[in-house]
Amino acid sequence: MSTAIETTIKFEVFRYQPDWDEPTYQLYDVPYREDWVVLDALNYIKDTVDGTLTYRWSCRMGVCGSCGAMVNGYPKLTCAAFLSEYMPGPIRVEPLVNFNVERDLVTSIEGFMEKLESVQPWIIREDGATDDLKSEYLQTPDQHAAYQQFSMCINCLLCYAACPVSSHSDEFIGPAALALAQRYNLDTRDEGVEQRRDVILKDEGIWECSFVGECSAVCPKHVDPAGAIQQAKMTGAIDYYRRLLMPWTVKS
Amino acid sequence: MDGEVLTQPVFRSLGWTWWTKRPSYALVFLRETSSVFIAVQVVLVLVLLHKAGQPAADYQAYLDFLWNPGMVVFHVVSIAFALLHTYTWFNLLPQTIAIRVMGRRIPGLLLVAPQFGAWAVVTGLIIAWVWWVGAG
Repeated sequence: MSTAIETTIKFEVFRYQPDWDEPTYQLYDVPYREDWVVLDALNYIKDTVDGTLTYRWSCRMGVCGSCGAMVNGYPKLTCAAFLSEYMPGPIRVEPLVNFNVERDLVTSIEGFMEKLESVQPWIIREDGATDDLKSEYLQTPDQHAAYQQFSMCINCLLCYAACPVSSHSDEFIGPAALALAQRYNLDTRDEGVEQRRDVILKDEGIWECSFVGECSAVCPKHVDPAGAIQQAKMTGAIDYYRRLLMPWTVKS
Repeated sequence: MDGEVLTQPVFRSLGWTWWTKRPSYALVFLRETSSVFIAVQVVLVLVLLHKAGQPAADYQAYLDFLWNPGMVVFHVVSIAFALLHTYTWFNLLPQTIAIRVMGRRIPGLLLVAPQFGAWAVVTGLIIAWVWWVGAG
């Protein structure tokens, strides 16, 4: 009887419980499967080795945006990070940086939710007509294409983990929220540019971005938040000079 | 535990050495650092213009200062930074400006190439002017 030697890959997983003084790294050996992603390995660990491991996941297909983590130091969706890319290992899995860690790989996203809400990422009508849910606002394919890329955000927060500005400023609204603000500002059905203006143009808004661009590099949906922010800067600068030089064109 | 909720979140950040953690971060750091060298260059040129209106001895003393070995090294480093800054910023333009024609965003190359073209033309004109002044 012959026994095939199973290939394994070593995992170093960040562990932290609220009543611990310090986080630690725990080592696990996981069977290597060519079609497995890091999330499969985490599920293997939780199901067969250590049921206390805590992490978020849902769709397993890069849509829900809940399984983001640092994989060997880079922000990745663990459902899209194939083990084959990291062979022979080890693979270090940590919670997304620039967020508070609640437990193991689970981060607190309360701060982000507040920032997201502050930019009012929904269609605003001056007449409030969207409240009746009956109004229809037509849009051409070209008008839709103008903001479509920025509407692909799944709030996975990889961009925040890649952003050095977010790392040093709690107040910075950050890539995803600013990209979504730009998405609605570009939407021809929206009339909320003025309502978002103060939040977007404040010091902690677009002007705090130093165009590192790594947010766009790590975005799994190719949203290009860095581009959205720079385009908002361009619009903001033009708007500033318009208000300065042609104040009569500004709506009161 | 007496009902006490233990929540002591740990904050993990990229830290102040963030720019050492990835080549892409290091490139951005160098790009931003280049601004310092370019700003100093601008000051040196402004002082040169000022000295041009001063007595010849003052002007020559300033030229001698610019030619000392330390300043030559500074200028070599500055030109490298200026080239890096220009190259990286030119390539970032397509992200900054979204021009749509017939419903489609125009290719980034159409925004980047004219900048490099204009850069080459202006550089050529300056070299020709310096050569012409030198020959005259």
